[in-house]
Amino acid sequence: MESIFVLVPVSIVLLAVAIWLFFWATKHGQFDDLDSPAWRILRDDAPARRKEREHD
Amino acid sequence: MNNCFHCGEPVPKGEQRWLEIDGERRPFCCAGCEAVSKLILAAGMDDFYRFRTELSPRVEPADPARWQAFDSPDVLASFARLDGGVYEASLQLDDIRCAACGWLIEKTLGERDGVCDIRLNPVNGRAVLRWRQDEVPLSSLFASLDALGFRPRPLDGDATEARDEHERHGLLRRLAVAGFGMMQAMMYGIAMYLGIDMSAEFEHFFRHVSLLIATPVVFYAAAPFFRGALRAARGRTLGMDVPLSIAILIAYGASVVNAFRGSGEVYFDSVSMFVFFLLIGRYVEAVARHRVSDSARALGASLPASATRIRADGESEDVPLASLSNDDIVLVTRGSAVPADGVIVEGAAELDESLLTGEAHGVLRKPGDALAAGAINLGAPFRMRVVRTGNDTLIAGIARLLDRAQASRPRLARYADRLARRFVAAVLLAAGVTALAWAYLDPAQAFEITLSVLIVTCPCALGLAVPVALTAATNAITRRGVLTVNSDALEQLEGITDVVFDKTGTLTVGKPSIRRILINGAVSEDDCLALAAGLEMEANHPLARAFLERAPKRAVVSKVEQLPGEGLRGEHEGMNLRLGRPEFAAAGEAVPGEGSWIALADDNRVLAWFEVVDALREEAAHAIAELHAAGLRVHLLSGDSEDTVAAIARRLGIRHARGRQRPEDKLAVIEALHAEGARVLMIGDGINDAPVLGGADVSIAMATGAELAQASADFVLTGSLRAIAPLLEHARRTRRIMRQNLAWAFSYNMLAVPLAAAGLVTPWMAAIGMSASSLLVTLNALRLNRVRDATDRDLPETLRELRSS
Repeated sequence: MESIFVLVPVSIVLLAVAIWLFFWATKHGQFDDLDSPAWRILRDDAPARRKEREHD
Repeated sequence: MNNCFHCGEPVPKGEQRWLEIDGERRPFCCAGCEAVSKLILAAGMDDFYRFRTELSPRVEPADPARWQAFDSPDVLASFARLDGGVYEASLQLDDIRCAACGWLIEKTLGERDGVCDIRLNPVNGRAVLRWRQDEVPLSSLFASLDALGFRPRPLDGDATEARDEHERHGLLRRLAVAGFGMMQAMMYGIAMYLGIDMSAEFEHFFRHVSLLIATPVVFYAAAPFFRGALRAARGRTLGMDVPLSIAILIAYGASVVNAFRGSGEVYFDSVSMFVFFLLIGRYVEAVARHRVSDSARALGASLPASATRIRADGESEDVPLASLSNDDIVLVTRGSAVPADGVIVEGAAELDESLLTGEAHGVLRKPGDALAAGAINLGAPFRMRVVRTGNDTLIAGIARLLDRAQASRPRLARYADRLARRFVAAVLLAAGVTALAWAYLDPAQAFEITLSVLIVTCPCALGLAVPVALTAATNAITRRGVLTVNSDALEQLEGITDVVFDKTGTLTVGKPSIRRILINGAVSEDDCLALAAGLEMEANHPLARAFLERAPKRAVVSKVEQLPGEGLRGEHEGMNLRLGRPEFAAAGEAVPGEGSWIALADDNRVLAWFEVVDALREEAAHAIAELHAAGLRVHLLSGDSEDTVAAIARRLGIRHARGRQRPEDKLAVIEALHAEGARVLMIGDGINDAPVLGGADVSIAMATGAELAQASADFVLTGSLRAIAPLLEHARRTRRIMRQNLAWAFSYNMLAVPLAAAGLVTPWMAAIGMSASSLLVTLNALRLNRVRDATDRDLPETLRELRSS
């Protein structure tokens, strides 16, 4: 149980890292536009993939 | 008839432009559209045509020289930020129609050398561009954007937008701190509640760790609530933030004391959770609110990006709008917008001031007359002296007005606020009474029970019930193509019994074309067209375009004179020509048939009759059938002849139609309907209808109308007419959900207060109960975000393809 005295501070450090990461992401606009990235994945190579399917 | 593959406009006769796309020969209407298509194909981006959900804007040939002014360092400094050799600027792009446009822009520009990054938000047409000026000058990037048909305009740090973003980012950071803090504090809390093999040493340690976690949550994440409470205290009112702050502070304070004393309860986990749930509500509300004001700003931005300044030595130079200053002399070319408020110094101007006055007819201005920014020059180029620029102009003032309208709280929300304020007073009173009563009955429990009462009765749900529902509803209808100008109107939409349509530009596309030509033999059809086109050369109304597109050649007509509302007069080889309404050009002659006719006449006789038709919007019949199905009476009021209106009404199945209606007549009809006890929704193009729109209970203006008329309407329709019936249905759902929310918030509090006062609710149960109640209300309201009955028609092509495969 003494490991708690080590693990809890470690978890707090991880917490600080997680919060720092989140702050960084906010500052760099990662959450500004939540709509168009969802579209982007649909757009890029769709026709190429479709052709591949036709060949199969 | 062939339509341009790029922009969808009809291909003029004799235009032979073809490209092979997707294995088919596609027609184009002009060199501009063809060039853009070639550009798109050459870049291997033929997917654009597959993915786009709307037709692209017609491309006017671009002039790269006009952007050169943007390369000067002074100008760049006015709107771009320089960071380690890389410039960053925010741009507003015109005519972003759909996600595919964004894709096209990111592809074309993103692959240019020297461009670090371009990110575009297709929702509002804003882009952030980062580039190296020494490798690729901004002017060439702007020219490429312009060539694609998306005219760029630099945005110099829009204050409201920066503030919105700041607020959103701040809330997100606080949300993260509270969220992570809550998770950690809960973990320690659970260990303590379960009390598994918990020695005093561990318990002591856990309490102090929890204190460490909860401290930033209280002092950083919960800061907005404290600020709100302080503001309320200074204003000597009671806001919702007051009991929240009291609850947070006393729970935290008592826990700190107990943690150091080593006995008694600690509430660090409850406090963190409480703050986290409160922040979720705030964040959802802020995002929804900002999205609405974004669309208002897009409406307000209508000035050109650059202006042509005349230097002291008489040379002209193109400068960006931001570097214009008072007393500059500016040349305004034909077809361009006046860049600033000013006074004409040279040349007579004919201006379309519909932006400011809603009046579509051109107005004449002489040297010495004042001009407002945003007016379009319909006539010859003229010179003006700048008097006011940028934010001081009239149009900027109007944009601010619109913004303010967005910021004002709707009546229902204000009502809920007042209610919540009274409720807060009651809560504080109840908490006080509870504290006194328990201090007398059982002092040991008094503190905990008072805390429970404070937390459990927080009227957050009450405060959220209305605004979140309204913003969610506004968002959803915005996505259907309806912008909300007046948020009270959503409430008014319920109980509408009659829908009144204007015809031109509303039920019709507002682009007239010539269907039939009757000549009386003296002059050939082609010559009549040529004469008409010659007369219309200088005019700028939609009808002129119909003639110019149809005529194979143009006759030279001199001394052309416009008579607003009547027609045109001019001279050709000694003939005095008149073109216009039958009463003006062919007084005394019989009109050849039903429909709208325009006559061309010389001094003695009528040379030709042109029948002009304005095609119905393809969705009009559907839209009206949907309104009938919803049990509404549909009316059609139009300024056109009775016959034309009756014919259209028959085709659309409208039973109540009247022709020859002047705006006063339309207003009288609406007043008569009111007298019968009807509630009227008016839909018009907003140009001639501004007073009529104002007279109806709720009004919708078509986005093609003049901008000021848009401001006077309650909603602006940017999409299909078929959005109207769902809009009414949506208003009903919004009302229902707001009532549910208010009912829930009330009954929850009525039930929770006695339970908490009786000591049956511990603080952590109270925190969960209160947060769950707020969350329930928020989520219930967010159901309005879902757009119901989204037909396949509304789905972007990509999704349809995915579905069918």
